[in-house]
Formats: sequence, C-alpha cells, structure tokens
Amino acid sequence: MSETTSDVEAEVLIPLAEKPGRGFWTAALALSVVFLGGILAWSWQIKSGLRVTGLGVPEFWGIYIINFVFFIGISHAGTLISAILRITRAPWRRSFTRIAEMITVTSLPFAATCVIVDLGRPDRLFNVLLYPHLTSPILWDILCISTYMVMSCLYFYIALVPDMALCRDRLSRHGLGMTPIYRWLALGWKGTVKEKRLHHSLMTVLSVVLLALVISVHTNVGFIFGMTNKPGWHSAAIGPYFVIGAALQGLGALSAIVVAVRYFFHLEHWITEDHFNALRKFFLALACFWMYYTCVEYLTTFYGRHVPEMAIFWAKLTGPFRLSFWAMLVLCFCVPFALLITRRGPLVLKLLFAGLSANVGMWLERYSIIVPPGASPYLSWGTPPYSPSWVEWTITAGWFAGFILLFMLFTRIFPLLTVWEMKAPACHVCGTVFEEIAAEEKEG
Amino acid sequence: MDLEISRRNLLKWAGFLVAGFTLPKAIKAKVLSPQEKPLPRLDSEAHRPALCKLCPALCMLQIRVVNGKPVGVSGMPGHPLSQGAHCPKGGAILQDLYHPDRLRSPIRQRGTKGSAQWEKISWDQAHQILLDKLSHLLKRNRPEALAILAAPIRDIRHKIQKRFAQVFGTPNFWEWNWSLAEGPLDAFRLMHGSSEGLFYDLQNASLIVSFGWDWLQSFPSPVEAQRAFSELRRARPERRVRIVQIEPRLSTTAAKADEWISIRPDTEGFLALGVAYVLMDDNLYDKNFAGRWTSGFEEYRKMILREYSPEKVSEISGVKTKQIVEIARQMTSIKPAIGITQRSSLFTQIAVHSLNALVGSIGVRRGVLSSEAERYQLTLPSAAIPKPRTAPIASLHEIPERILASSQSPIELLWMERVNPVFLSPQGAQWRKALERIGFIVSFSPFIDESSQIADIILPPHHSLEAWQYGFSPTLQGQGIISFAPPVVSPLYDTGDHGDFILGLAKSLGGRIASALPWESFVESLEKAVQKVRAEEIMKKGGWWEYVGESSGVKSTLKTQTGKLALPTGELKPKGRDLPDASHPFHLYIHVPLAFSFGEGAHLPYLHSLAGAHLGEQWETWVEMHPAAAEKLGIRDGQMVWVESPYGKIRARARHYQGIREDTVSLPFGLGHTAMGRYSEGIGANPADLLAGRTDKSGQPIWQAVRVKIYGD
Amino acid sequence: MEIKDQNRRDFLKWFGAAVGGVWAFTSRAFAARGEDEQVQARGKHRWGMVIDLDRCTGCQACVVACSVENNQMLGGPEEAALGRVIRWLKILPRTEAEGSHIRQSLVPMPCQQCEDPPCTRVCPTSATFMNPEGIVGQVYDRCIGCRYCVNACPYTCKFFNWGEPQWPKETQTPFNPDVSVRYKGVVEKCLFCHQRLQRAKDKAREEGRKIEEGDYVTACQAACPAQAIVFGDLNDPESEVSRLALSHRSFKMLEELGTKPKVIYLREG
Repeated sequence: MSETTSDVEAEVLIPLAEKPGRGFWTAALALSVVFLGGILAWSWQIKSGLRVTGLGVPEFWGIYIINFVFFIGISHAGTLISAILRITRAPWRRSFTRIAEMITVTSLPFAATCVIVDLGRPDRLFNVLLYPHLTSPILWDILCISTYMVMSCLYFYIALVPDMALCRDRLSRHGLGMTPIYRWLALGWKGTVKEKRLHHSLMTVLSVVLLALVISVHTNVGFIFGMTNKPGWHSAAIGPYFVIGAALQGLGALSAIVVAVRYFFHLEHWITEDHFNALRKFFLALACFWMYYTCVEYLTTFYGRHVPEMAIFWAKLTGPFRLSFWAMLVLCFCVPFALLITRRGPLVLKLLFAGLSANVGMWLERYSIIVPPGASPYLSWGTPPYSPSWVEWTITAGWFAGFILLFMLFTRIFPLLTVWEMKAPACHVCGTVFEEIAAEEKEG
Repeated sequence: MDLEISRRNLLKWAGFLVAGFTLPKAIKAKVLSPQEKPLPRLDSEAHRPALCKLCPALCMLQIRVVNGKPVGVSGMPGHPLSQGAHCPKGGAILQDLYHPDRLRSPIRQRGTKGSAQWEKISWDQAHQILLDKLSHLLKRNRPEALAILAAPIRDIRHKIQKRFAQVFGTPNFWEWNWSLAEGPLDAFRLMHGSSEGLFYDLQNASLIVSFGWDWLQSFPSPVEAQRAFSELRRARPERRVRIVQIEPRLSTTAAKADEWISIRPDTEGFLALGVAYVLMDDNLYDKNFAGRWTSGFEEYRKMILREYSPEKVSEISGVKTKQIVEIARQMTSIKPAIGITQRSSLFTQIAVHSLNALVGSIGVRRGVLSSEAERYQLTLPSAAIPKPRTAPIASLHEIPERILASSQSPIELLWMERVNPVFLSPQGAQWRKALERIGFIVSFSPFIDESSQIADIILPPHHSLEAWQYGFSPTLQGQGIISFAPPVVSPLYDTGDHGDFILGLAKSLGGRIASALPWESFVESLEKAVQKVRAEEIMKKGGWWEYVGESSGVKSTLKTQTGKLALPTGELKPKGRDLPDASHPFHLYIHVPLAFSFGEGAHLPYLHSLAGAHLGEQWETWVEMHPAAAEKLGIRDGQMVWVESPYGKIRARARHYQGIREDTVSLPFGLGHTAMGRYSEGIGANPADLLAGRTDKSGQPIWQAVRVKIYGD
Repeated sequence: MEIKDQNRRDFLKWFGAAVGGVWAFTSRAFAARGEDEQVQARGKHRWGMVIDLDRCTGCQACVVACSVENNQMLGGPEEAALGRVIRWLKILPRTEAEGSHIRQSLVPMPCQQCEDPPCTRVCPTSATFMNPEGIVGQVYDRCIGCRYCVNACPYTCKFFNWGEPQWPKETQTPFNPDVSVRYKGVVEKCLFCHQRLQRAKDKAREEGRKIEEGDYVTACQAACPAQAIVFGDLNDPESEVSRLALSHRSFKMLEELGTKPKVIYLREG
C-alpha cells in the first residue's frame, strides 16, 4: 500500500466525475425495459387478480415470496460485512463496506415490494397498521423490515457523509450538476476531530443496532413459515437457518458484485487478492455453517418420522422436487466449497462463480422451503403441480433488473470505496480509526 | 435509585398505566372482534312449495322467496319423499331457472336442419305451423306419421299429451327411460307377469347384495336412496344392516358398503348364477318357495348345475370361488336377503332376480314387494278413445334402427318433450342420423340441446317453478304420493305451458280431438282431475297427500297367468361377450355420478363440482385406471390420454385410482355436451361415443360391453 | 462521570416504563383465549356440528346447499384445473390400500371451527377472528389477501378469490340477500351459516324468547337426505349435538394438532 490518499480519492471519484460510456447506457436501457416489463406485468396482475399466476390450491405462495426472501437475503450483504466486520474491526472489510451497504439499500425496496406484489389486495396494505394484530408474524415482519430499511439507509448515509464532503470539495470543478446535492448531503462536514468522534460513535452504535436488526429480520422472515403448523415449515431451527442462509447469500452476492465492480471500475489497486482471500475464508465458513444447519434440519425430520413431514422429505429428496433440492445442495455448498477450499487458482474468478452459485442455490433453497410443503398440506385436495406463470416470471425478471439498475445508478452517484476509512493509517493487522482520532487528539 | 415524586412524574406514570390498560381493550374491541353487520331488512319473505322436475322422482321443495325473488332452496318438511331434504340436483334448481342460456322465446330453424341459424317466432306462429302439419297428416289419413317422445314425468300434462296421441290416432307414443337408474323391470315383467308396483323394500332390508347397481348414485329417487342407506346404517340401534356391493369399480356405493367385491364388467349375471349353483348344490335354497310359487324350476335347476359351477363363473367374472360361496352363505344366513340390480342386460336381470326366488325374498317384507299405489294417480275425466289402427313402429330404443332401415322415415312429424336422445343414449350417433331423416321435428326444451339442434322449431316450456305443478311418485315404502305446487314466480321469459299448447292444438283441430281434450288450459284439466278426489284445497295452497298401497304376500306380486313366478331358463342363455382382444386390452365401465344422474345436470355449474369428488376431479372428463395398469403403459396420473374403442375415441385425463380393476377403466357419464349452454358445451367428453349402439334383448341399450385401449399423445 | 450515572438511571427508568407498558399492552391484547373461555363459563352458546360418517352417503347435497346459501362462485374448467373453485364444504376423499383390500372414505369437510384456530392467530389485520359464540369469522372488507391464514389452516378449509368471480347477469338474481358476494383478492370460509343465526336470533327476539334448539339450522344440515349432519349448541348438555359428541364413535380431524375443532365426526361401523 504505497499509494497516497490522493490516489485513492482520485481513482475512487473517477466514476462519479466521468460521463458514463455507451456500455453503461445500453445496459441501463436494457434493464429499464425489463423493469418496465415487470411493472406492466404487475399492473396486469392488479387488474385481473392473482389468477394470472400459477398459484392455486394448495400452493398458495409461490415465487413472489421466494423473491421476497431472496432480496432480503441479498440485503444482508451490507449489514453483515460492514456491521459485523466493523464491530470486530476486521481490517480487510474497508474495501468492501461501501459496496456492501449499497447492495443493502438498493435491494431492500425490491424485497418489500415483493410482498406487496403477492397481496390479493395491495390497496389495503395499510390495514395492517389500521387493524394491527399483534400475534401475526407478518406484523412483526413489517415492523422489522421497515425499521431495518430506515436504519440501513441511515447507516449507509452516515458512513457516506465524509465522502460526500470529499465529493463536494473535489468534484466541484467537474460541474456535473451534482455539487449542490453533494453539498447538501455532506451536512457541512469539515473533518474536525469532534465531528470524527461523533461520527465514529454513531457508526459504532448503528453497527450494533443493525446487527441486532439483521438477526431479527431474517429470524422473523423464517417465523412467517415457522409459526404455522404446516409440515415442512413448523421448525424451531427455521429462524437461525434463515439467518445463516441469508448471510451466505449476502456474502455470495457481495463477492460477485465486488468482482464485477472491481473489473468495471478498475479498482484492482484497492481491492486486492488479499482482500479476496479474507472474503474467501469467511465465505467458506458460512457455506459450511449453512451445510451444518441443512443437515441438522433434515436429519431431525428424518428421525422424527412424522408422516406428513416425511411426505415432504421424500418429495424433496426423491420426489417431484428432487431436482431443485439437489441443485440447491450442489450450488449452495458443493460448488463454493470446492472452489474456495484452497487459494490456488484464479481467486477472483472463483469467488465470482462461488458467489453466483450460492445465490442461485439460495433461490432454490427458498423454493425448496416454500413450494414442497405448500404442495402437501395435512389434508389435501389433489396437487396440481405449481409452475409459475409468465406474469410471475416477468415480474421476477423486472425486479432483478430494477435492482441491478438501481445499483448501477448508485455506482455513478456515490463513491464505491469508503475513502475516509481507507485514508486511515493502513495497517494490515489492526487498522482502526481509533488510532487516527487518538493521534489527532494528541495533536489538538 | 430514588424516583422523584413530582406532579410531572405522577402524570407520566398515570398516563402510562391508563394507556397500557385501556388501549388494548379499545383495540381489542375495535380490531380483534369486528362488529357484525346487521342483515338487510327484508320487505317480504315467504317459503313456497315447489315440485322439482329435474328428475322423475318429483320431490317437493320449499323455495325461499324474498322480495318476490326466489333466493333459497330446501326440502319440504314432512313430504314423504323429501322429508325436508333434497338431493344435489334439487339444490341447484335455481341455477336451472336462472340459467343464462335458457331459451327466451320459441325459435325456428331458418336454414337447413342442424344449420344452427335460428329466428324468433311467436307462440301463435308456432301454433299455426304445427296445426298445419297436423291437419295435413289428418287430411292424408296418416295420423301414425306423428310420433311423440315424452319425458318420463308423471303429471297431468303428460296425460294430456298421451291422450292427444291416442285421439289423434297414432300409436307412436314413447316415454323416455334411463335404464341405469331403474330396477330390473324387464325381469319383473317376464317373471312376475308385470313390473308395475314391484319394488325392493330397501329401507327395511337385512342384507343387500347389489349386483352392479351403484344405487346410491343412480336410483329412481335419489333422495330416498340416501335416506334408506342412512336408516339401514343407524336407524335401528340393534343391528347395522350388511351391504355388499359387487361392481368393477369402487363406486360411492362400494365405498360405503361393508364389502366391495370387484368383478369384471357385465358379468354380474354369471356371478348370480354361480351363487345360485352353490345354493342348490348345498341345498340351501328355499325349497318351499321354489316348489310352491315357481314354474320351470326343475329346468332352471338343471341348467344352473350344468352350466354355472363356481369354478367356471369364477373364471368368467374374476371373482374368487371362495367369495362366491361366501355370498351364498350370507344370503342364506341373513334372512331375508335381497339381490338387487339395475336394468342392465336381460340375462343379468333374470339371473339376479332368480336369486331372490331361491332365498325366498319375494313377497316378504325386507325383500321384493308390490304396491297398488300406481292406481291412485290423478286421471283426466274419461273420454272416447279410439283403438289404434297399427302397432308402434318400434320400441323406444329401436326407433333409430327402424328409421334408418327404411328408405323413407315412417315418422314425418316428431314431437319431443324434454328429451335429448342424441346426448343421453349410447346410440346417440344413430339417433342423430335418424332425427335428420324425419321431416319435421318440434322440441319442447328450455335449452338448445343436442337433439333440439336438429329440430325445426324449439318451444321453451315454463320452468317447473314458473307454472302449476302436479306430480305423482311412488315411494320406497310402497306409498303413492300426489303433490301440488302453484307457481313460485311468474315466467321470466316468453315461455309457454306445453299442456296449454297441446290443448290449444286440440281445440283448433276440432272434432274428436277437441271433445276428448275440452279444457281451456292445463290448470282447468288439473282442477277437473282434482275435483274427483276432492282435494281442491290442497291443490290451491300447494301440498300433498299419500296413499298407502303396499301389500305383502307372494300372491300380490305375481300377475302371471299361472299365478307363479316364471323362471325363464330360455332367456338365461348369455349373450355373446367380447372376446379378449389384444388391441383393446381394457374393459370400459361407464359410471354415472349422482350429480349427473339420469345423464342430466352438466348444464348446472354447482353440479360440476361434485362429479369426481373422490379424485378431486371437476369440470372435465377423467378416466380411472389402476395405477399398476397405468404404469405398465407409462401413463402418469393427471396426463391427458385418448380412450379408443372400435367405435370411436375420446380425450380424457388419466387418473390413477386404486378402486378399479386392473383390466378395466372407467369413465363418467354426463359430460361432453356439444350444446346446452355455456356451462356444458365443450366441457369433457361423452363416453357414449365409444359404444357400439346396440340394444340388449331387454330392449335397453347396452352400456358396459365395450373394450378400449388407452394411449397418450 | 456523574452525567453517565444520570444517564443510566434515566435509561433504567425509561426501560422499566417501556417494558411495563409493553407487558400491560400485550397481556391484554394476547388474552383472546381467556376471554372466550369466560364466555363459555357464562353459559353462552358454543355452536358445533356432528357429522355421522356412518349415515353419510357421500351424495354431496350439502355441498350444493352450502354453495346456494352462501352465494359461492360458479367455477369453471380453468379454475378447476388449478384447484381454484371455492366450495366451503366439500368432500375430502381418502383412498387407502392395504394389499388387495381397499378402503375409501368420503368425509364432508366444512371449516372445522377450531376453538384454538391457527388461522386467526396469524392474520395480520384480524380479518379472521373468533366471535364470542365460537364461530370463526372473516371480514372481507378488511382482508388484504396475504393468504397467510390459508397456509396456516391444517384443514385447507379457507379459500382465496384468485380472480373476480364471474356472475352472468341472470345468475345474480337468486343471490341470497343475507350473504355478501365476495370479490377478487380476499379470503373466505364457512361461517356455520352465521346469517341464519342472526335471523334466528332476530326471530326469537321478536317472539320474546330465547333461541332454542332447532331455530338455528345450517344449510348443509337442512339439505342432508341421510340426516348425517347434526348442528347445535355444544354448551347445552341437553342438545343432540352434545349427546352425539360424546359417542364412542366420535373423533375430530387432526386432533393431535390441538386446534380443538367444533366439527366432530362419528366413525363408520
């Protein structure tokens, strides 16, 4: 790390200062079209009702709910990396925190709207607040997720304030018209010690709060299923299982997106193989942990021999859902494990594939959790196989496109690296902001 | 930690407490138990009697009429048939009344026959058209060229229609019949001399062995069948009656029975004779009855012992020898036992009924009884009726064959009243061709059904809730029930009363015809008939009364010349059976869900939901296959397949069902309309398309003797 | 460090207040059970149904009667293909094979009207709730269509309107005026013909008497030609339904789930 801080600033601000190239606009246009398609499909669904989906009796929830859990899972990237790693003061986090937080903030709106898309009467959403029923996990969920959303945005923003000040100061020359916004967002940040101390304590408190929220959010998402007595859903392990799954998926999403961002914006200097190696170890640990939970869950079911549970168990292992189940196992565990067990080979590429694989795998995991138990309730009236309709697929594609689009826009507005953190004396072992503040205090 | 006791703190804490205790209560009151909305005020509400004419049973219903609109259905309490309940079809009667595709006025075919180009005409025009046709026939002295095909509904309109045929001078008057929901009437006629008034005393039985009759689903009077079953099960605490069902398929009756014996389709007669063999071989039969009350017994006995050993029967029917012996044991140890069957092949009918003779169940309570109730039907005041000059051209089910065999149709003017042979008969295709050859067809039908499509004019009759109703029905207790109901609502559309229409024609034709049918309206004739029995009051208000007609004693059941029960051994020669055929490996067994009993009901949406409840099937035709057989062919549960016989093929959804024999597949009857409105047209397939269209010696169409193959796309 | 101390005290005070408030709030809001039990103790009605499977013939007159009484959707092939036809009362078929011996049971299944309903617990808006007489109700105007209750019901006896039910003009005439017609996007269920209870109560009030056995009859019970359905007040020890509920043949569906259904079945045989 011989580069000076000005290098960081200069390179990080390039995407913000430059006019985007043709590739960016083409991609943005394509994504907008897909997103618009999703919105149109949703309008069509609102007009006709949910009969345009492939849902029916007894499959009442389908890929909208899968996507909801999936986007919530992606959103874990930010909180996980920046909050947990900030609390544990892992130095290698610095290169990833901003991107991670960006993922959280951009994915959460799509998670929340997935639920609304799934409602039969989206116009009555506010009935949940008008007639709240405290025993319903959906109410808990709405409270958790809205709090999580607010706190994540706050966290993202507060971490952004010093960098906004930087943009305000450094980008004024470029005259892209963003300067007033940067100025406004920077809140008059001057970088004094007092400000830094306040900033530091705010970040610490928020990290802790967010960590608690992250656990509660995904536990609650799990509770939606776990709190029913439906075979295949009703399980004490489902809360933590969802948390671990989301962490794995979030880290996967982060790995893949960081690799992509690094490639597109030439951040090889700042996101190095060492960083990726740390990510790899963390990823590997989570994949193993996920596998452990999966084994616990299925083994317990198997030994319980509860008849309705076993019907679902076999439906997943050998029955009509075997494809998604085994693909899930391979993609969530086997592929990442095989790729990440050693450092040898093209690490960056391996992380990209492991990340994508874990994400596809986790989508399938949610499918395996939601759809097979739906197909075999306690008392069944025949099971027409669930296959999502074109409306469902279009909305899904639209939402994914919307997420990527929003993220892309963010990369052009906000610095991709946390410059103020990077500027802190770089120490591979124990680089914390404390030292800097302490030093400045001494000077002052 | 000491809390400061200040006003502020006190208020704060008080606030917390008040909020903590009152808010939840308020929320709970408002949120957790929503207020129940008061029901709308009804300006007027009444329960009016009505007769259900959706099937020949003629139950009495009670229609809830609110603000002049019928909005609810229940059975008439106390009515001997309904006893406050109704069958699924009766429950759906309002859907029949308010069917969006009911005909709103008389219509005439504009183009050629079957062109489906209709134009509206008035009732007067219809009257004139028919009058011209009828006068023309009379002028040419060809009255027998008029034929009338009537619904089997026993009311005064029916009698007016019949008298019209008689005085017009045509012998060609037929009543439609649906053999799958009838007792073995042909065997009764042959063996007892007459089938009139004979009935199974099901409600009181001790042991019921049903040879192939899915009697809970197909019965002359569905409500009574359900009630009888319920009584057999629990009405008598001291014993729960034993019910044995012998059928190729685990039908609803089989599922509810104590024992289901799976048998190859159409071999029930063989099984009955196998049981007869055991009874005689082991000397278990009622020798007293056989000796005293039967004729031709020795011949019968010899033939049975020669031809129907259990081993042979077992081979034909697929029922184990042990089971045959077991049935025989049961039928002699539980007395009296009845063996019942529907109006299938004459062979089966006679074979099964002869068992009743062997176990001495004829003319005894809990067995086969006779009733005099029939003669209490209301009759029209008498009139001079000429003797017909000729015999009818054919029996009902032989009409199409007869018409198609002659170069020119012997019938020039056909008059159909609420019958749809093109759809309902296994000979549908022949009926269609035959109808196309008839010069002029009038159909009284509330819908454009498959047969009316070929008609020249269609006259929509009033719905049974829109007009005066009278009906006669015999019950399982041997009573005769006479029921009346005034109209519940005034006619919704420009429909007419078909009784009035006939009286109008008679009046215009004048002469002998007018004087035999002298009334202005159908209601007047009904009043005249009622005066004879002094029941005007009941008629006006709607109501019923009952005649007890049941009589026990063997003698009363026997109306043969010899006064004995004939055992027509000559008729027991089994007809030719389809030989095993490698290209068509499955027997086809057609079953009729209760929702579509008598083959009708697919035009009512609520009935669709009931048809295949045992498999969760509705609104489509499915074919039941044994999982093992299906897997051999690689046919998945739920896959669409073709069912093909030598005579046709239809498309159906394959359903794996363990309640069917491996060598048999089963299709439901009632779906597959090509007409009759939006809820039936194009939904499902008609298994009659697979049948050969042959009739049995009994004169009834053959339903169960076809073999099919099944394949995917 | 005095300031810090002050902070801690303040924190504790507020924390205590918050916990107390939440406790007071939740203890009352969650106390739905207790109050219902009080209602029973006070001797109010608790409506229940006995279905005698030995009498039942599987004819499904009850299914049609229920559909007519409650203005249920007509259905059609498209809805049927995805299991979307709504029938509050329907036949649950079960075919069991053991070797060559095959048994089939056809069980009429209305909402089981649990005493401890899994569906009301999970509803985020209290659109489904239990009324003081034990009937599990559904407020169509409040339902947001999340289908959580449908998933939670172990009997699959709640139904979602996937699309707008199609009612040709003529078919709307015979609507039962006592029952509101549902629309797309909401959940519906068997209410034990609650409108008939209201009418029976009104009538009894007009006649200045208490509601008696036989005043309140559900449509399915009225229709049943086999008299397999008996309905009445489980709190009245003299009622027929209470008497039958004690039969040695009685059982409840999925009793092991602890939902305490008020629909009680009598075994065959």
